Amino acid sequence: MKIFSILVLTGGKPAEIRASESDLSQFGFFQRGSVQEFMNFTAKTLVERTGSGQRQSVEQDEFMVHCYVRPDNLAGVIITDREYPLRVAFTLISKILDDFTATFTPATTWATLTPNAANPAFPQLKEQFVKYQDPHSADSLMKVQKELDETKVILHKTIESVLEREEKLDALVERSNALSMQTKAFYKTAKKTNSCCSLM
Amino acid sequence: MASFLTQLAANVADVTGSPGTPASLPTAPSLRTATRTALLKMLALDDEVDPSTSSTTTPVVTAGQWKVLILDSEGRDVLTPVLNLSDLRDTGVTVHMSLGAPRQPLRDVPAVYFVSPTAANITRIIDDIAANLYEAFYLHFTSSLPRALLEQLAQSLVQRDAAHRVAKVMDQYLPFRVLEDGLFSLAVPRAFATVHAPGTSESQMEALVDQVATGLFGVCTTLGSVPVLRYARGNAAELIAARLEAKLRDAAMNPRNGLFDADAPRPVLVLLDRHADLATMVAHSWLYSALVHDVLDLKLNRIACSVDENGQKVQKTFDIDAGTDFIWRAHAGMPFPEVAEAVDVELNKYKQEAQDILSATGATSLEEMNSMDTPLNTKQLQSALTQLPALTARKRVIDTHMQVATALLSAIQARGLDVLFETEQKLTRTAVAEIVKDPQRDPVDKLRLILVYELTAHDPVASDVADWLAHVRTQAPEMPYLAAADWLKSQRALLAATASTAPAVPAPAPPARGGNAPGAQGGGDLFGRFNRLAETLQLGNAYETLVGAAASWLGRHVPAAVRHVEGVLDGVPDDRLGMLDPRLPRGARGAVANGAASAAPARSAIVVMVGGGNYLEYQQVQEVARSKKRAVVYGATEMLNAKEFLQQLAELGVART
Repeated sequence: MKIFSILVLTGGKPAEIRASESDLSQFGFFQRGSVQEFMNFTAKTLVERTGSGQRQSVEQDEFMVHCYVRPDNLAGVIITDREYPLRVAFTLISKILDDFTATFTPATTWATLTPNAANPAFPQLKEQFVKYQDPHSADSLMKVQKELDETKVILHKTIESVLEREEKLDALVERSNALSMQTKAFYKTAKKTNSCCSLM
Repeated sequence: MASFLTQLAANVADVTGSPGTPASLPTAPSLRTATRTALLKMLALDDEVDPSTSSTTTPVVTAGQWKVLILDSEGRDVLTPVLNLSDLRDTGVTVHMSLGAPRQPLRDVPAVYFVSPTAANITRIIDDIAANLYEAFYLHFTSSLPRALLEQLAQSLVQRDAAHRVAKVMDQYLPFRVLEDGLFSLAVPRAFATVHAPGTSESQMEALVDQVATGLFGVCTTLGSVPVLRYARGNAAELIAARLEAKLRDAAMNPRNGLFDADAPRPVLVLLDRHADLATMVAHSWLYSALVHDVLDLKLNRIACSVDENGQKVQKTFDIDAGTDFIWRAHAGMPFPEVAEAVDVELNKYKQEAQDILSATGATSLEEMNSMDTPLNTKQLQSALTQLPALTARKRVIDTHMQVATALLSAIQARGLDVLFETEQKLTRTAVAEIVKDPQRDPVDKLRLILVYELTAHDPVASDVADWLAHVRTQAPEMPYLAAADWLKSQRALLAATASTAPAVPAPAPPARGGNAPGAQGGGDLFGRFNRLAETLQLGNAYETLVGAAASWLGRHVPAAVRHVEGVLDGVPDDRLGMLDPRLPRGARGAVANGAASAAPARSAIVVMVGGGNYLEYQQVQEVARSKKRAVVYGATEMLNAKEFLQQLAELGVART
């Protein structure tokens, strides 16, 4: 059971990443750059297509991408493997968003944050990231966050089903300025050999 | 032996063309000669080397003083392929010893240390000096001694009042092993596995990059000129190129360190990643040196094999002296049957000459001649004596290759390597299937054939490959290399993408090439890149135009390295390779980032494979060098035969699960 990445974003079109923490040591050294880019891209794409107050999870190959957009437009995305419990992931997102709000108080400061700038000022992100690699340490957390029982989580089998009707993932990848040529090439060849989006 | 050879020759007849005589390479100083010169200078202590001796010829060796040589394992590995015992004796080295071994004092003899600059070695050296083992201490290090260790050495010696015993401390910049005139190994173990393993940390990658860059820096200083760097993008080669450029730039800026000759013609150093071309590492070859490396155990020019002696199998080792072994020098790149014939020819020539000497002196055998009882007149004695050592040396070389060729022959017969080679040239499904289904054949050979098919056939059928692999798996479930096939399957897409990628930072579009501007343009550009990738992986007919049908015994699959070297030597702009020039001021780098500016044909080239190399690729590159009449040096992080390479792939395959 593993968390690959936790990201805090501000919603809207386009969504922007404000803080993030990742562990990509399972990937080959020269693939990590592309994997990170692709995770960032997926997080933004998903947040842009998640309604306010909504929770969505996407199953994509060996990853699960969980996304929650809070009513105040702050969003959290957690990328885990298939085994990581869904409920724990969402509880963790809520906790992290609460901590983020407490750390960066006027919401107006969020617009200036970038992952590199935010992360040193937001050590809880790394702490939670490391601690909750083991989902069982979230047991006490779960007791506090009762509201999760009432909420619905929309499950998707692929990221394609999150996209709008006319949109195609290939086109989005191509157009994206945030993806380097290398990552786009990875995506294309991975798709060609039917291991779509899987960068492992 | 002869009849089987005719059979072999017939088997591969339609693949082997007529053998060309290996043309002599241009007379640019070879890496081997340059290394020899450096080492001989080191052993000459303070004696002046004759200034009229240019570095292109073997320096005149004067015996000078008697001295002792102390080596650690690194020093030994660097020195052994280049200097043999008689060379050492000629320079006055009476005895060579290991740094780690307990040694008795030899108070009246100076000692030359040639060791790697590690903390443990420094401690040992300090102890030796403090114990006053030798008359004087000449300390030479295979690569740069870190400042901290130098200070530690100095401080300890001053404390013990022993600093005056040290006559010299020098960096030799030789952290590489020269195996032949144009072949070197950096002896960096498991580079491929490190680059591709999940979980490789920043510091591990850093250490690897530094080690390779240091080794290549040594190669550049030994050759004496600052090269222009070309490198494959997006992976380890790029990181190493950046590090090497920094090292070269720093050294070149200070002309007083005497490392580089500013007027020397500049070679182009091409850094390539192994994963762009895996087939070359597992293919079966028909060339002598490649077969020896593959079938027998060839490390640092030493062959270990079991030989039939009086009906018993005996383990023997043979040393190949790349400077004087005339059979290896002429025939290492030739197909095996020719080598066997050549050895026969040499043997007969030798017998004839020995006979001539004997008949001239009237003795009936060489043994008789050696004893001084037989009355000989002075002149005949003189001529016999001068010819005898050379003749004996030749006999030894001939003997070596006779035994090696015989050992190879039995392996070829047992494993049917001639059929494997031929099948890999044609790669028809039926031929491959037949071999895979044959229960007599070695499963590792089958796996290699399947991988070659998967990687280089025009239109490999995936279901066939899967079937064949399953078949091999049932035949040999315990074979450790099977995981290699799994890894390859999962990684092929990613490796292909890395091998063909454009620069991550869009470079200014080269004006001459219309419609090919990089940037966020999408389909057409990437498609073009994949076309070129397809060429690299499935070479087919393009091969003939490259090196000509006459050299087809090299094999149908042309390594990517060959294509790049060709391009570099011809001065064809190749935007798959980045470019760095350590002599240009830093600001100018941006202008040549896309490599289009370097259209000048290179005078000579150095090709370095990051992740491993082998003799087949080396011979292929030499063939290009011969056809273009320019010197090309080939090097790799380590020389690996197919099994060793598959071992690393298998480790990667296991690590993924």
